This record gives sequence, C-alpha cells and structure tokens, in this order.
Amino acid sequence: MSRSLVEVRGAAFKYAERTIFEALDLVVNTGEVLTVLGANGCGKSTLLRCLGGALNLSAGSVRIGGEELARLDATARARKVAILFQEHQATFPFSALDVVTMGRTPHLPPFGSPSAHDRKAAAQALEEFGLLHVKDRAYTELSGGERQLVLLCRTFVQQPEVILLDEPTAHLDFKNQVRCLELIGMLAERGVAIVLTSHDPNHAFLFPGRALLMRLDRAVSIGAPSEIITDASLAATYGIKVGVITVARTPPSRNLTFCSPW
Amino acid sequence: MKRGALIAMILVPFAALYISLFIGRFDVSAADVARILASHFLPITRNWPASAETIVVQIRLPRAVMAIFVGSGLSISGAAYQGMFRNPLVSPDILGVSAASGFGAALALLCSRGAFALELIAFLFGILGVGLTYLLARTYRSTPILMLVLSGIIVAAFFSALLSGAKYVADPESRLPAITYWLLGSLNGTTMQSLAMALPPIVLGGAGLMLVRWRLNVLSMGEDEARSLGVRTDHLKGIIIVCTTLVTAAAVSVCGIVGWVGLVIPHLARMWVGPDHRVLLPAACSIGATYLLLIDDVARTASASEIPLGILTAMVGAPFFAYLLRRTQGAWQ
Repeated sequence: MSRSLVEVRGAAFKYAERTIFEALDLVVNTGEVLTVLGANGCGKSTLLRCLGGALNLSAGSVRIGGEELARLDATARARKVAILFQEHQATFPFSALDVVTMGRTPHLPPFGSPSAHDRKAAAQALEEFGLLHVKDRAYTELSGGERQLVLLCRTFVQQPEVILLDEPTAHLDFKNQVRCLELIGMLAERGVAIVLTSHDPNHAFLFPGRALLMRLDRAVSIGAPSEIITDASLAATYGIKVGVITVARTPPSRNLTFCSPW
Repeated sequence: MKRGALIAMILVPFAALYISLFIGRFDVSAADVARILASHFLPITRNWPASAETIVVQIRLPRAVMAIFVGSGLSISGAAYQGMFRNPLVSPDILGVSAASGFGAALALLCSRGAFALELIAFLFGILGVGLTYLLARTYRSTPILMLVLSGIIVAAFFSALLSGAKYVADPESRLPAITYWLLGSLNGTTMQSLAMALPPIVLGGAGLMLVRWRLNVLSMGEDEARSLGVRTDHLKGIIIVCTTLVTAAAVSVCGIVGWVGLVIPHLARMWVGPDHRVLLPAACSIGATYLLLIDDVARTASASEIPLGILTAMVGAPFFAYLLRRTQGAWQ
C-alpha cells in the first residue's frame, strides 16, 4: 500500500536575502524515487539538506512518516531519514565493514557499541550490495565508485523510512553508475521513499516515481518524468537546447525515453 | 583484533611497572622487589633491609603508578582529540589546558603555597582555560571545530603571556628557577597525596572517553555525517572536551608540562591496532603507560641528578614523530 513518507508544506529557504525556493509543496510515497533536477546552484542540495534536517527551513514544514522533522532530535531523525552527502572527506582508514556498521548508530543506546548482531546485519548488507569482497579493506583505499556504494550500503543498514541522496552517481564510472542506480531501485522496491538529486535528466526515466524540476527562475514543477521532462522544460531549466527522444519497442512498456542535446 | 595483541596490551604495562620498581640508584634486586610486594599478601620472612622496602613501596611504587596514569591519560586524551578534530597534529593541550595550568602553577609558586595548593590551583586553572576556550568558540547554539581550534590558540597565547609575566616578576634567585623547573615536568614530587588528588579526575575522564569510543568513530567521519547518523554532536563534543580536560588538567597539575606523549602515542597505537577507537583508546592507554614508565626510569637514573621529564619526552617524541611521518607519508596508518 502506498503511503506518503515525506510531506512538505509551504516550504521556503532563504540564505540571507537570497530566496532559494518558496511555497514548495511535495509528497513522496513509500517505494517512490523522486529525482530532483536543476542547474548548478539552483538549490537541489539545499532542498535535500532541508528534507534531512541538516538545514532548517525559513518557513513551512517537513513531516517524515507523519512526524514533524523539526521536533525530532538527531537520533530520532536518523532512525527515519538517512542522508548521503555529496562531499565525503575520508580521514581514517576504517574498514568497509566498520563504515557500514556506523549506520546502526541511531539504533544503539547512548553509550553503546554495535553488537555482534549489528555487525552481522552490516555484513549481510554488504553481501546484498555485492560488496563482500571489500568488507575488510580500508574504505579510504577503495575506488571512488566502491566507496560510494559502501556509503550507500550504510544508509540501507540505517533502516530509515526515507533516504536522501545528493548526486549519488557523481564521479562514478559508467559501470558503477549503473550499479548505484540499480541498488537505489532495489531500496525503493523495499518500500523506502527516496529523494535524489542528479545532473542527468535521464535518471528520472529509470525509476518508478516522479521528477522535480527546479528552474532558473525558481519555478518548480513536479510530475511524471514523461509529462514534465520536455524539450521546453529542459530549455527553461538548463538554458540549452535539448531534445527528448522516445524509442518505440515491443511491448510499449519497454519503450525507452532519453534526452540528448541536439 | 588478535588475542595476542590483547594480552600484550594488558601485560606489557605491568612488566614495565615491575622493571621500574627495581631500576634505580639504590640497589634492590628483582627477586627482592617480588618478595617485598608479595609480603603484603603472603606470609614471607623479611630478610631484606627495611630501607629497600621503603624505597620500593613508598617512593618507587607511587611514582610508577603516577607514570602509568599520566601516560595513559595523556595518550587516551590525545587519541580522542585527534579523532574529534580529524587532525593528526592535535595534542591534548589544543584547547589551552596546559598553558592555563602552567600559569596557575606559576601563580602558586610565586605565592609560595604548598604542594597541595599548587596542584589544586594548577588543576582549576586548566579547567578555567578550557572553559574560556569553549565559551569563546560558542556561536549560535553550536561549537564548530574550527572555532574551537582558533579559540584554543587565543586562550593558550593569553595564558602564555600571563605566565611570562609571572616569570618576569618572580624572584630570580628562588622563585624563577622553581617555576622553570616545574614547567619542564617531573614525577619527582609524587606522593600518596598527589596520587589521591590526580587519580580520580584521570580515571573519571578516561572512563568517560571509553564510554563514547564508538561514537568517536562516527564523529571522526565529520560533523554533518555524524549528525545524520544520529549523533548529537554538540553533546558528544562537550563530553569529550570535559573528559579530556579532567585528565589533562590533573596530569599537568601533578607533574608539570609533559609534551609529545598525547601527540605521538596515539599514532603508534593506530599503527598497531588501526583507527577503530573501540580498540585504539585501550591500546593508547597501554602504550602510553609503558612509554612514560620507561621514560621516567631514564629520567631518574640516567644522570646523577634528575632529568626533567618534558625534556626527555620531547627528545624522544620529536624524532620518533618525524620517523612516523616519513614512514606513513602522512597517511593515517
């Protein structure tokens, strides 16, 4: 059954005098992937941080699983929302298993350490993500792609209702991009609501969910990718000429839609 | 972690403690030390001179116990701060505790108070110094790491200036040498009373750090990430700062400024057991205790008069740190 996990009402965010977005309403349902598209600096990451409670809205409210986000403390919030930030500065060479186990932290008592059970859950998640071979390696020494997948795996172990991903496929090679997108699809199938930002409009066509377009003039449109991602809307979003092409296949459910610059 | 490493972690400091009890200018054999210690629990005929027992039990033992607690306390504090600040160049006095404690001690020496007053005043000034740093770093409902570091520099500079002032007005015949010698650090003045004074805060602070050692792992991934993983970072940083300050202020107040231990030992521990603070903190304790015990053995036996501890820890610590940096190329291995 589809249930709304993220509910945003009248949200606005301002940096000093500059309005990033305002009067934004948004619902994301369980099992849905919402792809947030827009040019550099349009506020995609800001929106994501507001949804995760890492930034506070200037106005309006965010409810996660029916609860007001602003009223939750960090621990309660982390049980409901996991965030994968765009920038991750690796410092200490923790093993991949330790990094994934950190996802269990919000479920531990205040002075607790992860139990054998937590470590087992982390190892299982690594296996499901096809990462068992890096389990004991220092995650600082993994390739950028594998490291990103390890961090994605950590959000899964956190067992949240909502996962927020800030450009999860940036800096990944083609293969790892595909793996990453597949894993995101797998997480959605398990009933998590996912919001991700992307620089590639094609990503929106890959997921069962809607797209959110943040245009340069701060107008926002939300809807099914096939409806809102058009030549005109992409031109208004990125200020370039782009064409949306559909390749017909049989059956029609396997039709392939993608966009490309002319 | 391997069982062997765990056993070594526990046994090596005890071995170093035992060695420290029979090394010294007054000759007591290793066997006599064992018999003297055992005679407190077992019925053994006393066939050793009374002076040997006095030296071992009343002089060497308290001093060695102090070396264990100061060494492990400074090391665990350094390891915790390096994780929290995510920086390899951080030592326990980054928030100004040593400078403030040093000034407190100089003040007590200027007014020629007794040993007890000196330790108390130095301890309280250490806490005051870090308290000032914390308040200075406090911005809107938060204490960012960078603000803490900068505030620490300011507070340390301020107390260093006060310390210089205290030295400048001190009587150059008597007080100035006392202040200078105290600042160089020594375990020479260890008594049962100073043990009773220093151990509770060191144990309390150390235990506090051990309690949050998993969360230190998470905090070392960066503050935003730690928060998104459910860590209330401002609470956690507060706990770490309070615990570390208790330990360091207590250590400095009883034995002066002993540098480099809290900087170098955590690196050594990390090379041995890896970056996981759950194992790293106990390992740092073990190595730190052993290191300071052995250094103090050198301090009290190498020459006719005592060599100040701070001189030795820097002379050993600096080249060793250089070696570590060369070997690891600056990476956190």
